[in-house]
Amino acid sequence: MSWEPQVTLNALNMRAEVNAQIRTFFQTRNVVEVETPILNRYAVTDLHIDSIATENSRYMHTSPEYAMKRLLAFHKCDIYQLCKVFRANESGRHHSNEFTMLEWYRVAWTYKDLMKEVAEIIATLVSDYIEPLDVAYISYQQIFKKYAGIDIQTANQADFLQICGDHSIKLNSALNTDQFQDLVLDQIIIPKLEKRRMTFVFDFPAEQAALAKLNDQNCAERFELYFGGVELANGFQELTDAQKQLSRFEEDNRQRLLANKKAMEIDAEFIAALEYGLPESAGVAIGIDRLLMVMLGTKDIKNVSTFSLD
Amino acid sequence: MANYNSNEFRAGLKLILDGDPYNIVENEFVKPGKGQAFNRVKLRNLKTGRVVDRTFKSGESVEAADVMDTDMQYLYSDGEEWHFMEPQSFEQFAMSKEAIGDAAQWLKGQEDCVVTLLDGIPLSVAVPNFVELQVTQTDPGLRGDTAQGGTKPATLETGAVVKVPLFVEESEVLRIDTRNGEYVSRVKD
Repeated sequence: MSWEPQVTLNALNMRAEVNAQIRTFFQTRNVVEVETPILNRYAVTDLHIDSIATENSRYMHTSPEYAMKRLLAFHKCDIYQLCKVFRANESGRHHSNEFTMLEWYRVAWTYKDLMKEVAEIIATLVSDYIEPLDVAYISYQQIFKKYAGIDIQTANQADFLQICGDHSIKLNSALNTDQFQDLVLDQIIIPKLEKRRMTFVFDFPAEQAALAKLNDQNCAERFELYFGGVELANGFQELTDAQKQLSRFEEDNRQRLLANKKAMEIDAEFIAALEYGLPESAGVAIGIDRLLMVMLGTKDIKNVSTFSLD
Repeated sequence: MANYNSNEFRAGLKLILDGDPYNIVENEFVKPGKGQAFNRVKLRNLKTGRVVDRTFKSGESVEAADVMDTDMQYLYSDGEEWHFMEPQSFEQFAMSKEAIGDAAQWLKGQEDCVVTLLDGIPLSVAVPNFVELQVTQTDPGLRGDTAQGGTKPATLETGAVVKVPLFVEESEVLRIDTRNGEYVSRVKD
């Protein structure tokens, strides 16, 4: 085990510049920087996210979302946070158990308004390093048709197996529709996207709504940004209905049990904040390490981190 | 039989897929947004040597291969089986013709080898990089032939046939690189 940092001086400077530019960006727009606790009483119920537990029965936050929404419900003003977040069992070229998130909320904005602001801030941050070609907006359904030839409304197991086979993806076991969609999007569609274009994918299937509202067509008002070959951001038209949110958390726990994972206690204070009243708002989280990877032109997240435990 | 969770996957891990033992060559963790994580893995079949790709769901359980590399000494062969001995325990292992493969042509006796055991049965063997074997048959080189290049075949005491320089004669002991089957030098006493 060596003591030296694994990051170059160039990369250190890059992150420092990005942090400074983030602060300037939001200051000029009157979005207030906040700090919420990393240690929480509750873990998240998300099926695919495992919270890191500490010895004194606390959980490290996987995102500052719930705390920031509690702030939003009470003070009803635009806020942002730049902080470390933590997830167990996530380690790879694009994943780290500990990483930096930029998360912000805009009161009375729609998620479509927010996509434009995300494009603006990304363009600002990368401007000294990359000149993005352009920005594209495409729905989840359309991107599957265009890049995988699949209609997600009607596709069955055989269709998904076919497209995986066409791309030399051999599976060890059967997948359900959600799992197939995740795999195809990440391993087949994203690699086909133009790296210098910011591609926003919006209106996700209802099963992937997480904390986003559902619209009249039963699509989740959610978006993701792909740029430089990686997923950079995830945003929502925030769900404000406390009962619906509670039901989703309960469903999460049912899924967790089916997957042989432990059910997690639901954050009662977060639900209480929703009952009090979350203003109509849109929020988004950007993976800053991923953004730095794209700016640096590196394929491994370790190259933008000072030290790593792996 | 023990199992590995795909969370534990890393290069060098040995597991059983479709009934065959495999060694993980590369393991890549992929995870879209808030979705299901996967492991995209490159594996080498320890029986056939073929490299394959396989995608696993995160959290999937796979049977571990009971594969061990053990230092052993080659004893002898009866033409059907090749016999090795583990020097600490004196335990003997018999390796089949399929398992020994091409390695047989370099072994005359007493060589220190590394035998790969699968479930306690010899799967393959790594012989020393260099062996010294005597020439049992080769055509005489032309007297005074000192030209560079120019080789002739020579049969060694194990039955292996290698290309040697024209000046090599019968009963000389040669140093052979087993990794490429090539003549290195003559061994002078």
